[in-house]
Amino acid sequence: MIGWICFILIVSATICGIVTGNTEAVSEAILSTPADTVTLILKIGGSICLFSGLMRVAEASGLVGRISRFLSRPVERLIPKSRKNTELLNSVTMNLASNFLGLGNAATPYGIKAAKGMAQGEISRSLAAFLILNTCSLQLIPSTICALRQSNGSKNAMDILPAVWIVQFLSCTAGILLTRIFFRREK
Amino acid sequence: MSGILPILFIFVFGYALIRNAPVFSCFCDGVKDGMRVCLQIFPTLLLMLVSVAMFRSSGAMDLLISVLTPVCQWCSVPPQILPLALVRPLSGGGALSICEDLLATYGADSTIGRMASVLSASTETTFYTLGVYLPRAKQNGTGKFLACAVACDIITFLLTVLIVNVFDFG
Repeated sequence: MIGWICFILIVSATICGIVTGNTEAVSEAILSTPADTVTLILKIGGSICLFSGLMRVAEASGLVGRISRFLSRPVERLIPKSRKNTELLNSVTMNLASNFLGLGNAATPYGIKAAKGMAQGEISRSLAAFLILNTCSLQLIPSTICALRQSNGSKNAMDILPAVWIVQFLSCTAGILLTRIFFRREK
Repeated sequence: MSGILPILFIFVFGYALIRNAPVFSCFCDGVKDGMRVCLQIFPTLLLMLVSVAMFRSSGAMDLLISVLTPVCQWCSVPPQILPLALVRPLSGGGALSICEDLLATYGADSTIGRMASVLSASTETTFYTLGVYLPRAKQNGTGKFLACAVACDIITFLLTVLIVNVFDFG
C-alpha cells in the first residue's frame, strides 16, 4: 500500500516537474530530504524513548491494571460478550488501558487475544465495538505529535490536548453508534 | 495544560516507587523499546518524506490543492490537510511525514498546523489495526465493518476541523 502511495507521488512529481520545468527543485528535494529525515528522527526520537520508558514504569507498577479495572463497568456495557467472560473482559480492558497510555506494543497482544475470543464466524456487535475503539485512537498524551509540534517551533506543544480529547471522545461515541446501527443486537 | 506533564511524571514514578516496582530497570527497558520504534519507523519516514518533498517541490501539491479548494471551501476545510486525512488510515509513518511537512510549511501554531496535529493524534492507522486484529479467516460482515470504520474516520476528520475552528475563534 505504502509502496503504491509513494510511487504515485513520485511519478506525479516527476511529470509535473518536467511539464513546469521544475526538475531542478525535484532533484534538490531528493538530495536534501534524507538529511532532514535523520534530523527529524533525532528530534522526536528522544521524546518517543522518554514516554516509552515512563509508560513502561506505569505498566510495571500496576497502574495500567488499575485503569483497566476502572474501565470494566463501561466496557461491559459497550461489549456485551464480555459480561460473563472474565478472561475476555480482562484482555479487552488491558488493551484499552494500554492504548490509552500510549503503550501500543503492550496493547497489541491483549487486542489479538480479545478479538480471537469474540470471533465466531460472523462479526458480532461486540467485536465491531471493540475494533472501532481500536481504530479511533484513545490516547491521553499523544507524545509523538507533541514532540513533532515542539520541534517545529510551537509555543505550547501541549495546547492541542483539550481539542484532541474532545475529538477522540466524540469520534469514539460516533463509532460506537455506527456499530450499533450496522450490527444486530446479541442475545 | 503545561502542568500536566510534570504531574504525570510525579504520579507515575511516585506510584511505582510506593508499589515497589523496579522503576529504573523498567524505564530503561521502555527506552530501548522506544529506540526500536524509531528504527522501525525510519524507513517509512524516509521514503515518504522524500516522495512528499518531491511532490511539493514539483508544484504538484499546489496543483492538487487548487483542484481541491472549491470542494473544501463550502465546509471551511483547508484543502491543505486533505492529503493527511487520506493517508492517515493507511500508513502511520506516511501520515507522520505529511504532518511534519504541514507543520514545517505552515507553522505548528497555525490553524492548519493545529488541525494536522489534532487529526494525527485522534485517529489510528485504521487498515493496519484491522489487519492485525481481524483473523485471517474470511468473516461475514467484514465489508460492513469496514464501512463503519471509514465512516468513523470521515466523522473524525470533520469533527477535527469543527473543534479546531471553535477553539481558535471561540
